[in-house]
Amino acid sequence: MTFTTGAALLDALVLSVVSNEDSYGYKITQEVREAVDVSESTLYPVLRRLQKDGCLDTYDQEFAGRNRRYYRLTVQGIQKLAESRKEWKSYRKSIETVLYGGDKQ
Amino acid sequence: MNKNEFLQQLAEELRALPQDERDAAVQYFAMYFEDAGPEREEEVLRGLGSPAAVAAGILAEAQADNGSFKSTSGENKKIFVPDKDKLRRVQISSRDGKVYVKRAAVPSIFVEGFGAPVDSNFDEATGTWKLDIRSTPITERLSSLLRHLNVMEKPEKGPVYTICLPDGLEELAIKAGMGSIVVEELAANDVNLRAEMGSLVAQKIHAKTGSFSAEMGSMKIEQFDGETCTLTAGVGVVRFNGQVADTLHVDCSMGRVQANLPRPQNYNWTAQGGSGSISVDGKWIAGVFGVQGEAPQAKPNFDLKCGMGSIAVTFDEQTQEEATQA
Repeated sequence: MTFTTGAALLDALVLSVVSNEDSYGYKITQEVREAVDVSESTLYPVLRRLQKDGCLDTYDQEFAGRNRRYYRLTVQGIQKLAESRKEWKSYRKSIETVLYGGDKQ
Repeated sequence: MNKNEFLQQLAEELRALPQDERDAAVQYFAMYFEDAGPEREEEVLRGLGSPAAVAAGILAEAQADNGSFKSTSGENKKIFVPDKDKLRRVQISSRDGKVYVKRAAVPSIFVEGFGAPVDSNFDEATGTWKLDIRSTPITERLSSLLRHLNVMEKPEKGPVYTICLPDGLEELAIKAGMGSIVVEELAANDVNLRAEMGSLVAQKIHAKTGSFSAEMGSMKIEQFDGETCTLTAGVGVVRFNGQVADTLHVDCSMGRVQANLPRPQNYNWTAQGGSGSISVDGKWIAGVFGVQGEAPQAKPNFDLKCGMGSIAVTFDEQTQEEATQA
């Protein structure tokens, strides 16, 4: 894939992954990496930003004798994800209109 | 490199961030390694890239988000931060609250806790960045007072302003009213720090001229390196150590000043004391007026004025014999 992945899309992917179930940094990264080619360190700033914006919050839970930090969606995060999904649909539509020159798919 | 070295270097690279932000980032990657498991450690190290590169991503995000503070109505307000290339002078004044100055490649400001409004103005012509931190809301002051009296169980963070500045400024001037100033490390031409009633700590300042003043507060200057340094203590306490090539001015009316320098090859002093006491290298010059040392041309020169306070200039590596003579 040569298309670049912008911040807005990364935000949406992370929110979507976390919306399935509360998850932790490593697992979120691996799941997002299935869709887009980002480095293992890319998501920390994204998670931090989403947390600061009030879309995610965290809690610690014991796992195998240590703490694991889980991220979960806030009400605001749920709204943001819904908006992003809507945005993505219209974005995709307009891209495809140009890309396929109005061909019926 | 192994995971511990990675985490250590990452923490080092993130020095410019406030403590809790840095801790959170390092903790995230520590957990990341644990979740990946020891068998994936090398692979993860490769996937992460260098600690410097990882830190750059985190810092970039923090920059984009920096300089905002929560106003009394709870909304985030942005503080203007000038371009590194245009910045030549920084003047900060703060009524209360803590001001931390750290060295960093690009200027930025972080506000922790419930901060006071900050006026940030930049004069392009002179390259002067003026930061005026106004009084914290009364609620914050009250809670800080309660904290002080240990009334509140859970200590809450007061406002802390972390200001990152690059080396090589022409001027850094900070005036703190009741708050405190901490400067970690900085090289600038002219450094002027003044704590009226609060405390002032400055480490590793390289400056052509340094001026430090604590009117009623206390002040600690460590590892200063410069040509001229002025220490002013009203009724406060000043501790200084470092090197001064040309002149060390000390003016204390009722306070106490203790200045420690590496032993110079030669030096001179002039002293004006009221009823206070002055000593240089263990020799007491008590209750004197307008007395001068024996080598008027020698540098460094110690220009010592004291009213009712006391000044002691001491040198490192004082021999046993000298100490006994004193």
